[in-house]
Amino acid sequence: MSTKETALCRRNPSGKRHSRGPLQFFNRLLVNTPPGELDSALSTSDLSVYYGDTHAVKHISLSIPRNRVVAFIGPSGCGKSTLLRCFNRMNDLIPAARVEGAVDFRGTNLYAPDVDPVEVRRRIGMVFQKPNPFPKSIYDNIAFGLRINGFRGNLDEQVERSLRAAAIWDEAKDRLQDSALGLSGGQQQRLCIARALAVEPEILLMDEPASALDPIATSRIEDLIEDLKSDYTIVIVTHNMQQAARVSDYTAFLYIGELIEYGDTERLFTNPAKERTEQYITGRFG
Amino acid sequence: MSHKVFIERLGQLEARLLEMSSTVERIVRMSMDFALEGEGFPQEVIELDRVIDAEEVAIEEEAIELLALHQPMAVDLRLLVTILKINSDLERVGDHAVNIAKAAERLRGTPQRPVIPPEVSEMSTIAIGMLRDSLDALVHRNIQEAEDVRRRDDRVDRLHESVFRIMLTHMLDSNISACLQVILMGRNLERIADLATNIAEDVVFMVKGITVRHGVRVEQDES
Repeated sequence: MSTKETALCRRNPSGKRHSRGPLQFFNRLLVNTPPGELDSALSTSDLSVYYGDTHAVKHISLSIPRNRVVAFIGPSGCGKSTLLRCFNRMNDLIPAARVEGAVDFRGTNLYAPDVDPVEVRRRIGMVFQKPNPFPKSIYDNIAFGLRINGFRGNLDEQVERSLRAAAIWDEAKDRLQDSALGLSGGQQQRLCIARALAVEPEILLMDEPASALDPIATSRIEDLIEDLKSDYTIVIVTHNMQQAARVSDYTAFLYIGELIEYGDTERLFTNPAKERTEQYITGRFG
Repeated sequence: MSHKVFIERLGQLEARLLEMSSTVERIVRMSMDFALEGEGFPQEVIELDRVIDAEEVAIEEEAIELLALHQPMAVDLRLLVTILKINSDLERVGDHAVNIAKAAERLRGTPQRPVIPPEVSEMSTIAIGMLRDSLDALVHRNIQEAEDVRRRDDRVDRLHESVFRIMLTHMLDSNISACLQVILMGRNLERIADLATNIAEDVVFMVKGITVRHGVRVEQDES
């Protein structure tokens, strides 16, 4: 087992993030490069998910490029959220769910028996559709994950850094000890993003992160995604195709559990290669 | 706006554009008929050009409204963008038709005017055919028809050069201003053929999503 595999299989009390390649400068140049040809942050091979007898995700192999935003789109029930949840083993929490195939993250299959799912979820964070802050202070929402991960650095600094990274510091700095439940929906969602960032993940999964928010709060989340791209790899599931077109570099279209098309977002939304993608994004079915 | 309503309005917008194109083709014919054999200045060309100008604005406003309200994608987006571009090109063709009629009118009032060379008539036939066929290519979503239009542009360019040379020669023993009017007619016909070529290229983009302008064929990768 390699050092990387070992690191993933144990808790990492330092919380130190792996360094990343300086790809930011080339983001624009590389945006049309097929995703499979870029440095991969995470990849799946022949991944299938079953809920009992239902085959929800069917033999999907794809690569998520590092420091890029990838959007999953498709009609309800197409398996996009299920696929997303495979990336940090959230499907483990669903009793009837069964996963086959592999999810490769830094040379380790996340579904290997010795992999610690808690550590996986620290390294691959997740933000959900509905903001779900803890019924605690704003400060403690951020500090909670750090404390249970054995963070030994300056807690105040890390809380501030996380809130700044999630673009909510200015609104929260004077009320850090107030209840997080007093924040607006958009603020709560950015707090949840700050909470996910606090433990310094490498990948951020977002499951419909703006679907419960008004247009202004949605816009702030989208701006935030753009800002975070230089430091994190982001995978977002969205029903809003305009949002997918706005925020993502690559888009995957799923239909009835199958990956129909995956490629450069601009091309997929202007000139998709597959007839079914065209029909879906032009609203002719789904 | 429901998706069904959007599809209906998009279809109506395309039909409206095609209707405008037939008006544009008509005024080019009227201008050329006047230039080659007509008697009185065709005032209808000026009036119809105003109708075309108004129609261009109306089509543009409708297209922008559909873009804003529906935010179409893929083939619908390409069709709307193509309609916007063709709309603008057709309006310019209308202006060139007016220019031709005005040049012909100036020519008629000039003493020692030269005979209009047959190349101008041939340019007119080809340019009007290109205009009509480029719009047919849109209706049929047919790339071959569009490519055929693009090929014919070379012939118009050669005829244009020929008209220019002939008129330069005539300038030695004829009225220079009159020769310039013929050159202007040729120039406007050459521009009409160019705009028809633009329309054909936009049709290729609409159908295949590839850009073929400026002699460059940029095919988007299929990965």
